[in-house]
Amino acid sequence: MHALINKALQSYITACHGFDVWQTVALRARVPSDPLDIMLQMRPGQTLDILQAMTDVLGQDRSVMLEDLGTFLAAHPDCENLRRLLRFGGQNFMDFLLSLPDMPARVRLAVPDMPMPRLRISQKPRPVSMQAHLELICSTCVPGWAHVLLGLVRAMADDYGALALLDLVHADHDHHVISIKVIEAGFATPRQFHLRKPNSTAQAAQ
Amino acid sequence: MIDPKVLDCFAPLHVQTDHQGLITHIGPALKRLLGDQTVLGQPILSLVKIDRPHQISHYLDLEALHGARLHISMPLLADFTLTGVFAKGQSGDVLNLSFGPELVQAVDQLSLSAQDFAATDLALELLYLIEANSAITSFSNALMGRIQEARKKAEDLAQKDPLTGLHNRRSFDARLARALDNDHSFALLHIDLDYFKQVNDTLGHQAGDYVLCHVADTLTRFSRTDDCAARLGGDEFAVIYHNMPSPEQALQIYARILAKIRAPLKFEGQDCSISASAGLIFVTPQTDWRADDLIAAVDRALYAAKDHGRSALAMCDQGGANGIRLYSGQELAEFQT
Repeated sequence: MHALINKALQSYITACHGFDVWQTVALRARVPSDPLDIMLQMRPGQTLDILQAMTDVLGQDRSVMLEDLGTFLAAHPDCENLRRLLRFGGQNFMDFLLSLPDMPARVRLAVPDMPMPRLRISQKPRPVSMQAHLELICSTCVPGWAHVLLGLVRAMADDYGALALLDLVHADHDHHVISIKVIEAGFATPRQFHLRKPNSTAQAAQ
Repeated sequence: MIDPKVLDCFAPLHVQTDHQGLITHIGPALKRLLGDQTVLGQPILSLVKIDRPHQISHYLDLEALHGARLHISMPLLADFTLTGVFAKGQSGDVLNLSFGPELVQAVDQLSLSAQDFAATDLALELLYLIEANSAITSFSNALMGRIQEARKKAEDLAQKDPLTGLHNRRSFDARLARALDNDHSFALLHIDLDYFKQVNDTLGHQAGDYVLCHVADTLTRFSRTDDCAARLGGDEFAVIYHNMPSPEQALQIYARILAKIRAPLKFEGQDCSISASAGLIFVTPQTDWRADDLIAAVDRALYAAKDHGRSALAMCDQGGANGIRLYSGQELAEFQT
């Protein structure tokens, strides 16, 4: 697995559970606990070892933790960079949802060797009570990706100010389906997004 | 004229003109950028200045550039530079604009939003890529910083005496060789502590270490960052003073160091005062020393000082002859200014 994924797990545990917990997890998973060394050292199976250690130490279901990781990646202040990159996906929540199948290609623009699932989105007939009903199909999947996506898309709905219900409605080995019911796309004020980072002007001027 | 709604959708930054070059329509993004400034009915060459491939003053010349890549500046937008392409049509002409390589500056200065770009414009992917790239770069910069730090630490470990933080013998040898290669005069001081063995034997290693650190502190305090204060082993120290103007100045410095070293010192309430003997040699660029000979000479001087009684210093003659001049502790004290 890609070192950036291990880095994401480290950042998540450190930010949401504390550095002590991360040190315990790292020790158990036999990975370096240093936030930068984790990027340098890679052996096969490291990511699964970290996940197993997380399950043991935190006593939570793997799927719950991965969903939480997805939320962390999209919503935590430490991951503002990532949130911004996600917001490039669309001007509103519907645009964003419809751009999700482009996400793997976008990720590869920045990190060419990142393993990504194949994503498809399909519109379902919707009852009058909702503005849209979509299904996100996640296949040839690295295990766990669908749970991360679930948390991530849910957090992005908040970011866009949309009221949406998300559920994992189908899960087998390499085929996961997330149902996305958009109740109201303009439910709350979206968080701000400008094409350029607020503080990048100074850097550009240099 | 081409249906403005069609072009507005494909090219939010376009300008339509009639065949005389008078503006008949501008795209929505351009309209937003120009704000209140109305340009309809004006000659297009008053809105845009063509800089390349060549400057143009007549509309007919612009028509000749059909399909070419144009470099344009816009007086109404603080001379912002854009890339453009002009096409001559049957019912009217169109100039389409894009930000080209100035995209990032344009987004900053003109506060562009996603609506200012056509849905198929790659500008957004480019901005995305720039941002993703800078995130990754900051990661790798942090990694580089870490590697640099680790290298520095390893270098320090290889060069420093772990107890006192002074240079070790290996580092001292390297610096002495460098000083000899350089074209400046320097002083080499070699110190051996007096009464150190007694302190170590009666009060223990901890007291001994305390004394060694006290001496190291003193040597560091009386040297500049470029100088090299080293612990050569046991209770033996050496300092290279670069760009030393005269032997007298070196004596003055050592007199002050000796005063500090001889000052009463206590470790856990016990007296652990010591003193020091020293050899000093002043090296000018004119003399041709080999490092080994230099060390042997200053060593001989140190032993001559030891023989002379505690707290003395022996200075080798300049030029490296065997002559040695001895100073007692009392004489040295007079050099303090």
